[in-house]
Amino acid sequence: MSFVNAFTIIFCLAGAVFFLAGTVGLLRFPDIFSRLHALTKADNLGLGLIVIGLLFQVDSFSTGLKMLFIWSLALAAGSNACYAIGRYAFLRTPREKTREASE
Amino acid sequence: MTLLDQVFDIVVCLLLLVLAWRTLSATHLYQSAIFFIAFGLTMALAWVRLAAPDVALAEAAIGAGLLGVLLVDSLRVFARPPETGRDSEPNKPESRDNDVTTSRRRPQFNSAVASVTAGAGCLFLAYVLVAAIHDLPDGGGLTAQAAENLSRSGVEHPVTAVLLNFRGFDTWLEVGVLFLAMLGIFCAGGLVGFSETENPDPPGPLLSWLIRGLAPVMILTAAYLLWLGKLAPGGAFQAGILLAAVGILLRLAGIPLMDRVPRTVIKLGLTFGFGTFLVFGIIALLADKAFLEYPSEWAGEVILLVEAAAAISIGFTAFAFFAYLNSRDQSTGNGDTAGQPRETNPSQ
Amino acid sequence: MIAEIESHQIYAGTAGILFCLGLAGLFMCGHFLKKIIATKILGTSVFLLLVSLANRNQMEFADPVPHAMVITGIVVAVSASAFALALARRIWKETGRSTFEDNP
Repeated sequence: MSFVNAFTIIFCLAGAVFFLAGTVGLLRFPDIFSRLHALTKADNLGLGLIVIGLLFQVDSFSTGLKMLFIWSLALAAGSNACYAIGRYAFLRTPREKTREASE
Repeated sequence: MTLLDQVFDIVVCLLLLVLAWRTLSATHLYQSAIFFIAFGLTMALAWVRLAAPDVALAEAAIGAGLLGVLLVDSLRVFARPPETGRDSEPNKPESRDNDVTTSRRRPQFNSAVASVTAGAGCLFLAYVLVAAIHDLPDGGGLTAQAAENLSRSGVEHPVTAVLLNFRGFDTWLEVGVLFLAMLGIFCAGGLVGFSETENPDPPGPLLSWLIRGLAPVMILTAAYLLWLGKLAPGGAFQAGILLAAVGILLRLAGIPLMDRVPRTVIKLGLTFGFGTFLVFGIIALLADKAFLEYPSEWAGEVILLVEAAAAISIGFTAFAFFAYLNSRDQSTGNGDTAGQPRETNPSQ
Repeated sequence: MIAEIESHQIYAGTAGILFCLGLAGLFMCGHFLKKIIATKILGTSVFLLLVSLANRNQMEFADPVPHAMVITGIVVAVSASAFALALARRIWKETGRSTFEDNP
């Protein structure tokens, strides 16, 4: 049992590290695209690792399935939100500026 | 209650206070709206900490989600001068980022005496509130009565029992309030209908792909939440707002919905919940019972029916809030405001 | 000292301060949108107070009546806010004003 708990703790801590890194990136990165990059890392990997960690603790199959489902929904929603923000920013930025940023 | 719990509660409370402060003191309205959404989501966390998951679901979906969408949509309107009639270009890129949405000055009082008095008054009010809570008798409220009658209510979750059975009257009138708010919005805006907005930035293919895939899942989740309300947190409001979210996302993705649906269906959808409550109430009256009193052997089924009707109505109304407000500014070209004089020019 | 403070007391205190913040914001903020947001914060603080009261004594479950009242209240508050938004937008459209002040 304690072996299982250790797995949970390791995965959740790893997820928390990703969330922390994503938050720091969101606050510290210079422009919108790299900020989005940091944010998606936190959402996708952080939440995923926490879900995997909690999967060791579930008591029924359906609960675990629901958690995986929630993760996949968060993935779809998060990537879409980032795509929308990134697209808006890309279309609104003058072309020269974007080229400078990418160089 | 461990120390860790206490620290967590204190952190959540501080976060709430800081977010509320930042919401109100931000100089740009856009910041205000975003901080307000963050405030709503943190509030949902606070509800979970207070053992009120139903309220948390409602706050996240309605308080932060729906109102957030309405606020951001209103920002779009306030961000450009109201003269965007036929003569001027409404979609000029620079007109979106002009500082009409910026409060011209930070809120301030005229004199130091006034601000000190106001501050002291606020602190006194806070003290009175907290002291009043501290002095209240600790009787447990109506918990005992609710627990005693739970077996006769037809559901197993106490909050649903209170909402739909013990205090069904409140919920009935609440659906009525939603309907009235909808009528009020119709009156404030003039008869312009639900026609689609011309979106200057089409959302791109990904959103419409996503919503086509997700809409059935969301409707299924709404039905699941409705069913779950019988024994766990969930129920008509949360399910209804989820239905509204389907409509809002479809509209944002540029898939027309409201103007494809016949007017009769819209009217029916807006009044369905209120009417179903009324029908069951009158049936109860005819059977020599109190208004909205359900027979205890049928209570579970009746509650599910009423809840489903209420959810459909709430979904329709909440979506109509957005669809109507969203489509209104497109109609600056129609007759209802064109002939009236403009008194002030906000861009000065 | 700190061990004596219960969770609901922390939240009740927060609700008190939030109430003041909302009230101050309602009077001091000029723009309609901010006034609507301030009213919403004011209402939320009252809901927080109600639910923290319901949580005082943990019996079999927390008092469900305040919870139900708050859920109803949230929906009513949001409908009122939506109506207020519609009114504010109409005023903006008609007169170009976004505050109640004389010289915006």
